[in-house]
Amino acid sequence: MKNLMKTKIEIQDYKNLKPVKLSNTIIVIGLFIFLMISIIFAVAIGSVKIPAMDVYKVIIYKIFSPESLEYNTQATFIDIIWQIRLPRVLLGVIVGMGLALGGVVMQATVQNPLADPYLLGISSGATFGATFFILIGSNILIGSFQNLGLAFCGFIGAFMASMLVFRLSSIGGRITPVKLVLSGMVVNLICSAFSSLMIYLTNDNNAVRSITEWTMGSLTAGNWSNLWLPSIVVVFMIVFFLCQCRIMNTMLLGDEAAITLGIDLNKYRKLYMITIAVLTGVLVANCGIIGFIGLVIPHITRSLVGSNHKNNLPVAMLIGSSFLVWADVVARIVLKNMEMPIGIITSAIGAPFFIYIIIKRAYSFGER
Amino acid sequence: MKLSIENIDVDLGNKAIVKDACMQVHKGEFVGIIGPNGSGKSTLLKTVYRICKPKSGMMYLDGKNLLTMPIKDMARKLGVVSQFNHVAFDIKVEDMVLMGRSPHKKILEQDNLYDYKIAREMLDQVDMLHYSKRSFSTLSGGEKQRVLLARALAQQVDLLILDEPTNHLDIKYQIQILNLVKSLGITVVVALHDLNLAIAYCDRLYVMHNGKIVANGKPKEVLTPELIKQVYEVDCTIHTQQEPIYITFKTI
Repeated sequence: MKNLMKTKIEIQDYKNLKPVKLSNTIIVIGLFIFLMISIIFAVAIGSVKIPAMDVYKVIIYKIFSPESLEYNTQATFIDIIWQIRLPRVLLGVIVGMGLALGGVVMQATVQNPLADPYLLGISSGATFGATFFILIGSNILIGSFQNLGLAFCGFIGAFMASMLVFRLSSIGGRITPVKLVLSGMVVNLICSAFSSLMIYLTNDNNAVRSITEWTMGSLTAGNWSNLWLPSIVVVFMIVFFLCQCRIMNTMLLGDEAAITLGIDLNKYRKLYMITIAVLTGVLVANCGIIGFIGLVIPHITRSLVGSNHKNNLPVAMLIGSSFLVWADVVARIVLKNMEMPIGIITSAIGAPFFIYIIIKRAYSFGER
Repeated sequence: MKLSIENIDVDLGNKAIVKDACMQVHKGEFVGIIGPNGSGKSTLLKTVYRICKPKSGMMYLDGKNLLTMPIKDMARKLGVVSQFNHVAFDIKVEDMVLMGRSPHKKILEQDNLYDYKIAREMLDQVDMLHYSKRSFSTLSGGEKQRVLLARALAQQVDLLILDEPTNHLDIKYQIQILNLVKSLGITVVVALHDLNLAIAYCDRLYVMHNGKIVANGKPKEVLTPELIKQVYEVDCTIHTQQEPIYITFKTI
């Protein structure tokens, strides 16, 4: 009887295993195809409308045989597609992936489904750095160094703030999720206070406006020369964290359970925090603060494929990038002759969507 | 000698919680630790599975120094089921049990069919196989505890440490879990609240009081009305004419 049961289980094994793995693979492939299509349409849509087929052709020819570009495509189209829109859309892809990745990792690191990549004081630290540069540093640097200086100061601010959070939360031994969240709040408050003080003391209205725009995020910085740094960082992080799935899964259980499973989370928590600080710092420096992606996308993915990071991570990154690409399309076309900050779009779309998930899927932060 | 604890002192925030504890557990034994709340049972066990650091003393597992052993090696020899585990994320029961395979895996190694087979066998052993696709957080307290036991079993250890595993469970599941653990034939160290269950299942008992081990030996020899009065401050009658012996407490 017992033997019979065992064989039954083994048969079930295969039965139950295959569909699960298959459906996850299908989701990943499907999302990847959707992302590719999204890229093409995002390049096609804009103030100058370009047929999607032309976009596809130009991209394919540019990549595979740059010399033999067909003549029936207008030269202006080629420039718009290749020089202006594509790098910007690709920046959206990279940033969306990075933010979604950061969100998933951060939520695991602090064992709290309400965490996001900006939790480590990164957003306000970056704002502080950017404010400092716009009000004080921009007088010193001129021309094309302006953007570079802004990005650099944003990164430095973000990185310093997260290191401060790191130091604060390791006072008195182990870094615990609660200490991390509280230190993050403290550093956020300090940095915001200093930024506000600087803004309050200035008379330069233009500077205040550019600070506000910066904090609302934008992908306008997207051109080929700005693309390589975030790309390298994000790709490196993707490879790194895809190798960390087992440890991140264990992280969800908490410190004690992880130790009994042979994993000392303290070590990994430190490592993850530093890598996420670098990742988010680079992203923020390039396109300001784009909220909600790091918070909402991991929830969407969890309700789709569960908490196992092996499935969660790739799906989150693909949804994150598609989402940001479309948000950027909306940002470009919603106002006539003007661009809307993308942070407004992501929040405006993300928040109701979040509510929808909570209601529709009876999903309550993992505690059903 | 399976597990040997020698003169362990543990301080938590300047307060001595465990004082000079010594314990010897032989291979295949079922050893119970009893004592009132705050007597240091959990802290002593947590020191054994490396959550707490001892101030002084030594611990050996299979003759190896447990205090300096890499925790991954420890997790291959020693499994833990502790008190209620809160998890803030949805995790499938099957994935939960599969995590028990972590100590046997290299960092990039994927779970293979063998791991799935072990996970399923262990779920079958705790009678939870039909729940393998459910979310852990939707289970009842008893079901959660059985899943966590399956996870510890999936670690394929030969020493199980159970820290009040039957808390929050009704009597049916208390007996079910202890029966199951007993039937495995591996070495078990368990902290228990219910003295009658401790008598029924344990080969030997250690009694803790104010951080010290005040008595140890066979349940029949250790548990006397005097000791129970001293440690728990309640009066009781011990019925020795039956096997196993049982204790009734004076309630009013």
